[in-house]
Amino acid sequence: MPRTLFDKIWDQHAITTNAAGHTLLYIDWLLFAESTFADFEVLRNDGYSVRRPAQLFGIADHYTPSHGTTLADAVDDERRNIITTLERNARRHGFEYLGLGDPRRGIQHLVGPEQGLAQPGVIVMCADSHTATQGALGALAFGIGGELTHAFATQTVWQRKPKQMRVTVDGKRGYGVTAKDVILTILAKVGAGGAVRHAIEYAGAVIRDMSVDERMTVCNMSIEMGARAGTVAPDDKTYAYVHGRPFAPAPEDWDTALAYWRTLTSDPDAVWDKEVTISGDQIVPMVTWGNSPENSLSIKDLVPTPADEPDAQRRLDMQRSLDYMDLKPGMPLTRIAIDQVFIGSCTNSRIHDLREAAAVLNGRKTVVPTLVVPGSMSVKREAEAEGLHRIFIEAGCTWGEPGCSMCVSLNGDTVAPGKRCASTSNRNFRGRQGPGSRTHLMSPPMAAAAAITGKLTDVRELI
Amino acid sequence: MSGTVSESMQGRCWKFGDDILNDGGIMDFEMVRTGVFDPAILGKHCLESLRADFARDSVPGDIIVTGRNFGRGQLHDAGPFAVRARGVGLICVSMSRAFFRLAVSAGLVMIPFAPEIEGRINDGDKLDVNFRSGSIRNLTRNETIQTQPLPDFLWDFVAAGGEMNWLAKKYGTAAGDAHV
Repeated sequence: MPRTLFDKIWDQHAITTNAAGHTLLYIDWLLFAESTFADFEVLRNDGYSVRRPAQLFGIADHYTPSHGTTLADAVDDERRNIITTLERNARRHGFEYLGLGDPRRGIQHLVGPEQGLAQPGVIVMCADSHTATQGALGALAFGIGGELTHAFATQTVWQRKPKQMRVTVDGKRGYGVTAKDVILTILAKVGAGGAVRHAIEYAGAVIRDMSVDERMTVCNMSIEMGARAGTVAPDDKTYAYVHGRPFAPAPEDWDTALAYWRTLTSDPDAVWDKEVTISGDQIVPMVTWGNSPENSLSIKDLVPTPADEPDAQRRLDMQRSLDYMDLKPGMPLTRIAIDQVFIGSCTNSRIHDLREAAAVLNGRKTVVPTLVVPGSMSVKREAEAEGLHRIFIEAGCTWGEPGCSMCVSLNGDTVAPGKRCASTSNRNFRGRQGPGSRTHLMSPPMAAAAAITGKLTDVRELI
Repeated sequence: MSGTVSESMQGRCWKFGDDILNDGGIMDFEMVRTGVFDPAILGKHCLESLRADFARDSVPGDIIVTGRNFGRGQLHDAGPFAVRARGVGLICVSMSRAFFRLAVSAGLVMIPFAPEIEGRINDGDKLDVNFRSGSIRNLTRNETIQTQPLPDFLWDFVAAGGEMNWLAKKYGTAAGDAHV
């Protein structure tokens, strides 16, 4: 029977299936951040220990400061306490802790690939929405929440097998079009609920042409369509990315691993429950206008007009978003003035993203406060070795320390009430970047362009 | 939640659309960020950012009616706790998987998967709902809609007032109302 990439990895990790049709899956790597203190408390109260501590990584990312490198820099005692609780749990249970000062630290979805944990054929689980990022390496990467204690205690998790969806992006990306524009275009077409109960495989020439960094940007936002996971079939770029990383197969095992990895593609006659095809040539720089990532439009477009929406409920929802975002129907998106810019998050804080943003900012000045936060210590070192940080600083940006930062605003980096932020993150929900904050999602070059002009801008006019 | 859980409710329909978010929709993300679990506070702000009139005027016994994929987004308790604190019923065309788990755990009086309601209930309609049998009488339109209610084993969680009370009842632990 023909199988998809997803089927192959799933079957390899399936232990048993129960009467209700749920499968017990083995977890190769389990990554998690600070907000897991309650799960460890349950574990302790129930008298369980961690089953496979060597396969767990606790990573400080959500609450870490972006303006300093030590615990003393955290904004308050509460946040310091949340970070140190993770460190304490690491000591108690014997798993690896990547805390402040650790050269491997970063946002967990960057750390997995950087350390070679995410590699073709493995299952990576994180207690976080954006775990699908790591599927870009040809792995299965799920976010888990309520099942975390079970996962700690057994290194397994019960899952219902999702349906299979393929999103094919054919053709060739145009000038100034990034991976973020590709995923925002997919989101606009599929919708916020369009991939519910499905796992997505991204395919087509545009995806094949992307670097691994760029594929991670695409997979990252799978959850915003309701998908359980997002993957890209591994290829030579993937193998080259994994090669030599700390948890990559040992040199003597490399050929065996590679032979296996080459089998990890969807069979040509595999059956898809849902298929979406997008012409890559049509994709342009995108921005979001509303409170859901699916609300994305070409930068050349106008703010939508509720009166044009035939469905009464959707018309009402649209009006509520416009009210919250303080936008007038029919105004050009390029006339929206912004108050600040954030370049970072697990969507767009890899070296590729920083290079793209720096190329736009090079020799120019920002006119609004702009925070640039590399996603990991590794990215930060690489960016500084290339001199990117100097370009950002000379342009007037703040160059921060790695972490989730202003994407989720748990570490004190917030957008003030009523303020408008051009952001490279993944969620423009009400209040996401702070109470009353207004978020427009876009690519790193588009955010850089907005920083220079002070309004939403078509970056193609600046490059 | 102490006392008995009512199997039926008569009240006004408050209608919401598809893909309503948990964080940033049902509940302000700030409540999650700052770790607020007080039902009085959560109930007061339930769905406020989407409909201030709901947060101001809805009364216990009223019924939230939504489209597809209700409660999408992050797996946080503040949203379901807010709905419960409000004392309202909940009927959805469909509910996100993560929110469904939280809603059962919180013991929400609900019909979470009711595709039959699509296009048959308007905002402001007077409803008489039997959550146990799945029967919805739309008094405004003088129409009855039969839906699939929660199965017995899940209704047990609702009847107990949520997972913690269910556990306390079953195993006699001291958990009691700790979750409430």
